[in-house]
Amino acid sequence: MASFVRISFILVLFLAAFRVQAQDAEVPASLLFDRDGDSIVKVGCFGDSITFGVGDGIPVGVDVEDITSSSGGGYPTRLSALLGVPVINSGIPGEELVASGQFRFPKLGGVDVVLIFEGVNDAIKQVTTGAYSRGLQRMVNIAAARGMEPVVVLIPPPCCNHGSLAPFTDAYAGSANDLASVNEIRVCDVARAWRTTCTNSDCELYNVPEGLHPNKLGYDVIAQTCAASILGIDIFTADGAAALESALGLPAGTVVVKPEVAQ
Amino acid sequence: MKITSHAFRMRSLLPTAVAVVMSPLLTSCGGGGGGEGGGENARTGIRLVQGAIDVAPLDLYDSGQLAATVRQAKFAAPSLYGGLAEGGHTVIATRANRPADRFTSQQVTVAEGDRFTLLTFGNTEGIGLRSRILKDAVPELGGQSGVRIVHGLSGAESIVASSPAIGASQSVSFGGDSGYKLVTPGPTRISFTRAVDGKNIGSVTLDALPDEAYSIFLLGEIDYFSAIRVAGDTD
Repeated sequence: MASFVRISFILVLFLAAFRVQAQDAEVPASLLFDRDGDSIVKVGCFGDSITFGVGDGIPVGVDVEDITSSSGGGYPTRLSALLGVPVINSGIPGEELVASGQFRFPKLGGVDVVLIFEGVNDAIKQVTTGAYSRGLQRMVNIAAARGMEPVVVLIPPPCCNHGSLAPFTDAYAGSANDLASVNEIRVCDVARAWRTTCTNSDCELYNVPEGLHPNKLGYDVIAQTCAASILGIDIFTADGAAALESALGLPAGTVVVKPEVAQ
Repeated sequence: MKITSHAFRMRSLLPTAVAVVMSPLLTSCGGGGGGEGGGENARTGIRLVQGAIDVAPLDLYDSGQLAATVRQAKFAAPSLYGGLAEGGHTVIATRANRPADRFTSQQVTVAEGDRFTLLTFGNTEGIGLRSRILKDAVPELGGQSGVRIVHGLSGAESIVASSPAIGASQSVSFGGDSGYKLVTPGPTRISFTRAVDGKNIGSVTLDALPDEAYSIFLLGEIDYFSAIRVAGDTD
């Protein structure tokens, strides 16, 4: 009996060691933990009109030239529902990262994880990629210095009536991706989600032909992509959607983001 | 860093996977933790303090060495000391994970027990990026504590540090340091203002231990985001 107990104890130790190693080696930890010691895990979403939720509530297939009304709260509301934690919507329509966002950012506080999603208004002003990258780096530095975990959201390319902005937003997304790699922080790759999930060039995740603000389905895609990123799930693998559904206790088929198909 | 479905499956199988447990455990023991320096200061070496607010984290290389001496020195987060051998060195700071993307290089000559700080400060636009090597030459403390102030805060030609513990106010110019001042061990509160107009920068309370020395770094940009960080120089 004593030897059985001893062997069991050793096996438990082995299991514990293996579990730790497996997590360290292959499973990135969820970013959802209390970093500021206030006993509440809180997420902040910092950005412009897309963070604010302009264009939400409009279903796919409605012809939209200009957005006159929105409902639903955009991706922050969905993220809160998915993750089960409070999410602050710090989106200001029309805000540019370089001209104003980077100066508002130091006032953001009280969150443990912050998603930074700005740039389409910089594209309208044809801000250089270098200026965009420097501004974004400032925000990432401030977040880290204040104990927040930054997550950079990669901007999807606008289409249709705003398709001319795409070269700028693509350049910003590439630069933000490189910045995330250098800083060893996560991205929420909405640009990739658009690429895998849109079924045509006039992407149905946008209000079309407006082509700048996501519709109801588009905001679902953003929230699911960012939830996966925060939890450390690669949503673009063949079973990424199922993994996210399993992690969040969602019914099969709830996640609409499509996997990356090998060429 | 990416999660894989394989990883998920592996985790779910763990409770029943007793038979295959031995092998990964041995690998884990053999690895000894691996990683990035093990969280210990080198007795002889250099640390990196990245104080430029629009600059990415930096790695620090000793010329000719493949492995970084210091990895991922983030803004306002003084690194630990990475080891340097005795002799002359060229140390090169690069963007983290981009060894070809050089930020600055400096020469140092190292003797046994020497420690240095490479301070990076300024900004990309405006005053430009700067760097400076400080020799962390802690004087004989004789049961006292040592405190040094290092000014890398853009937007202030000089700052004034005020504290009953250090006696009269101490002025420090941009990119410079105060040298070590001996203070009585215990809690020491130091306040900082911009010399030209008395603008409040902030304060720090340091619980100084006997025979320990500390550097207090002022980093970032005044009127935007200032950071005050304390780092131990003798641990």
